[in-house]
Amino acid sequence: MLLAFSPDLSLVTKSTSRMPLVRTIGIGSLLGSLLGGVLSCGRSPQSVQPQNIEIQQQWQLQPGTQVAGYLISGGLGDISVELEGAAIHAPFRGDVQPLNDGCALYSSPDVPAYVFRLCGLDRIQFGAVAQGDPIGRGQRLQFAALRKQPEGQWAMVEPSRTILEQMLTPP
Amino acid sequence: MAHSNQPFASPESYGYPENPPTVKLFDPYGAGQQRRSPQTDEQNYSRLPSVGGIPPLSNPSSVPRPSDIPASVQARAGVIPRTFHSEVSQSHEAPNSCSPPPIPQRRKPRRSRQPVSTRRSSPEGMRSIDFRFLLAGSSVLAGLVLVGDVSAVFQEKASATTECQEVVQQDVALSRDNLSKLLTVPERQDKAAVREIVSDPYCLMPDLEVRAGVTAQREAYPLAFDPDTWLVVLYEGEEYAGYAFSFQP
Repeated sequence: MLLAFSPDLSLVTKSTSRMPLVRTIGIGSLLGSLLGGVLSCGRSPQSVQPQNIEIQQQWQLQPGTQVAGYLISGGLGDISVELEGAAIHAPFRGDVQPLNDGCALYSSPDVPAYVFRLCGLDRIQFGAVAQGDPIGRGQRLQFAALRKQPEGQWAMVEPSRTILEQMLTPP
Repeated sequence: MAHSNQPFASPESYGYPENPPTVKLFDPYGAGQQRRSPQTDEQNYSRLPSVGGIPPLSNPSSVPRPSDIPASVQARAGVIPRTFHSEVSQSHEAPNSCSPPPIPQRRKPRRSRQPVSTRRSSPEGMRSIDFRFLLAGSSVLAGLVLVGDVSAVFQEKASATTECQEVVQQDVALSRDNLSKLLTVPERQDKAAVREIVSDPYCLMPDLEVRAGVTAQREAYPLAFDPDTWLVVLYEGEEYAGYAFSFQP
């Protein structure tokens, strides 16, 4: 009420009256961004359940285990790649699922008998991915290729250079 | 408090008539009359001439003559003619070239007490509010448009089907019986064990090298009972490596 009768302070009321409008703009942008993020990233909610795969070569120390308070980030069969924040891309259309050890599992229906374990990634795009889509980013990637075994286990195999190049090269 | 209760932007405070008969001039929202900008008001006010300094009108028919003003309004002597002239002098080409009309002293303090923000708040404030709401709405709209674009791009990418390099047999469809038999073949069996169950595939997919030094061949079989689903079989040389179901959108 005092501000309404003060010519000097009316300038203050004018400047403060802009704030809700600025907030409105901000909220509008935020809503648009959030809506975009929710609709664009919620690809396959049913496929984002953590998975567990049984690896044939059982070592005591696996990625995700703790030793003396330190996290094991790589183990047998892992190829360490210094990504330095770069992204890796899906070489085929496929699906990215979280693993119980904190890594990601990438598989493709067009490449039977093989899956790829990816550890050390941030901002992972779980769910369906198209060929060339970024799967995630990270400073150091632990990459492992696994081949299906007749008993249902997965065996660590030596990945080819070409498959790793496809994942490291942006489309 | 000791603040003045005088309104800020009342037309009477500028000497406008309370019930203006010259609606075309004083009503900024009147029909056929363009909205008056506050700058125009201010400029006109700063050039308020005396009554005797009215220059000839270039288009007298567009402006009411002083004789048209009712007597009740004309009773406010010196107010209407000055305002009337201030509106008219806007279209005059060379006003005040020799002797600028004196500005009444009693107008100055009244005008100076008027906060600039309130004088300009009604037209410009409305415009700025409209602009801000327009900006907010357009932000939301841009977000929605972006969502549509991103979703469309994603769906377009995800709709990529299994890539056939060479069609081997056009009318191949895998029956339920053959599918169930094929699924019983364990991985790492000979390729011949699979080929005893199924014939030539519908198509060959491009070779690839997943394992170092080993080239993989892939063959695709559409299902007879679900043509949009293909069974993809992967061989490594003469060894059967495994299968997967590929859904064709």
